Amino acid sequence: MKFLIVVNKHNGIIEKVSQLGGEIFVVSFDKKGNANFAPSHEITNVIEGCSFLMKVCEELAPDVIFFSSDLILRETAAYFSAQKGLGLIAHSKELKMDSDRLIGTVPGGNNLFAEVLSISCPVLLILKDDKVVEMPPMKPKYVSFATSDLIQRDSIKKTSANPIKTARIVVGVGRGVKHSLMPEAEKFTKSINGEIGCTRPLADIGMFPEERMIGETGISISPDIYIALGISGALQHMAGINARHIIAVNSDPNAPIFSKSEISINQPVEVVLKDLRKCLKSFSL
Amino acid sequence: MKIVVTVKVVPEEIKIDKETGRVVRENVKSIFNPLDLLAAEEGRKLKEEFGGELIAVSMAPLKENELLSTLFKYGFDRVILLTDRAFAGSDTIATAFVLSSAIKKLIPDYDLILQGDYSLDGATGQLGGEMAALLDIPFVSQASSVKMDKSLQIERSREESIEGYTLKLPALVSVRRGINNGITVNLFSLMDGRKKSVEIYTNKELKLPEERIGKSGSKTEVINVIQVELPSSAELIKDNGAKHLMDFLEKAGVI
Repeated sequence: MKFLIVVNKHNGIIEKVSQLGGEIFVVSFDKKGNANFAPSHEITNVIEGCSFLMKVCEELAPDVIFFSSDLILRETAAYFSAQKGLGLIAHSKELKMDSDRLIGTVPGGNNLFAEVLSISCPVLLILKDDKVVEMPPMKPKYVSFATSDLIQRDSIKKTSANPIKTARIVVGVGRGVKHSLMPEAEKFTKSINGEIGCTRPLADIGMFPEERMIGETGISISPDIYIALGISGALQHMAGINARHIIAVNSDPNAPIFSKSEISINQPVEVVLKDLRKCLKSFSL
Repeated sequence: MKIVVTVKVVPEEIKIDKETGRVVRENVKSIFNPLDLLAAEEGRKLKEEFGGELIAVSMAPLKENELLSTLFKYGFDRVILLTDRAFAGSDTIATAFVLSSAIKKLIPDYDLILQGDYSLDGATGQLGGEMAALLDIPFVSQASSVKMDKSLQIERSREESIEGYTLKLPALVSVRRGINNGITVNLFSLMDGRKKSVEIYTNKELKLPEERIGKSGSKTEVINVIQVELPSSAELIKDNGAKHLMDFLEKAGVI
């Protein structure tokens, strides 16, 4: 099978796809990207992205195209799928091969996930993974493509970096943390040099800014340690987490987060924070 | 300016049918997808500034007619409901085909299509890109600002920057959370809206080919729905969780 992996800045999906075997070609949307194919000039919009990808596909005729979840790649995947009349499996977290059919696992809410397959070829699939991995240098073939005057990017303003993206420890808070406990949760986070994040419901009511919302429709994080306080563990939230260790505190013994956690504390968040204050010096100060 | 807003009707509470893998819509209260209402507010503001028409298009079961008729109070001039048994079971690409074909047929002189970035129930976030491709128009997602000058000016954040885009009309833009504080009822529209009714189109009028719509027009298939396995309660720490957490953090060299 011939796999095309389309990446931009984040190339972590290469590792995941490599596990499936098959012949792999890496395509970068960044003209300086380390890949087998790269654009001859910068791609700034979806129409250009699509025209570049068409050119690469003409040459390679892949069986599957994997897209990393960078914004412009997600847009291009959708545009490309409709232009070619192909099915698109969006936001897969896991992959598996079942007698030559590729199946993506997609979060479906309520502790359920759906196994989805595409019945058209090539199969298009977006994989959520924001890691950046070192790859041996490749010599890209530069592909030229048509530019479009229908859409133009005229400006880019840098904003400040989001510290939660690079934090070693992230403390996530969900609906199970009472409003009055938030200052405590934040203080605890500071005491272990962590960064605080939240689930979508808390961002929706404006308790936290959007750049702190972790999950499928928010940011992705890859900390060493993720401490989930009062988070049920909806798959949409978990889709944004690539942590080495997950510790969960939840008073509901049936919280799905416990299926993912290494240490599963089934106690109210309030009690655990209170106990931590007693024994953790940096927290009690 | 003719502004189309695609509005999805979603269940207030998301439940998935384990057999079919589809969202359960029976006996669940229906609401408008919240992000689509933010798109509606952007549309309303543009209409206020430049004049024209604000038109809602929704693909939904006929019973949502009543809910959709409440859109008039927000200042919509027309509300179009696309409904047919043949549309049921559509995946994103089949839905994009129905919506874009209907817009082409019913509002051929549209200038701008606005929608929310994703829906509460499906959340694939792919509809806009697919519709734009089928209509062959430019597309930007995650807009945090929509302004009209000589052409359409969009701002959106991407990673650690804010990008400014200029789009030629007609175009499709999807908006992100926080772009505005939502749409409010306009008293004049509330009165005026009572005289208006939702325009209903089935596939009899639209005449879309069967192989492009509904289940037969879908290119993805849910083959299995799996329940997350929960650990047995024996694995849960019921007492002194703080101590376990402290031990772990100590071992990891955090404290």
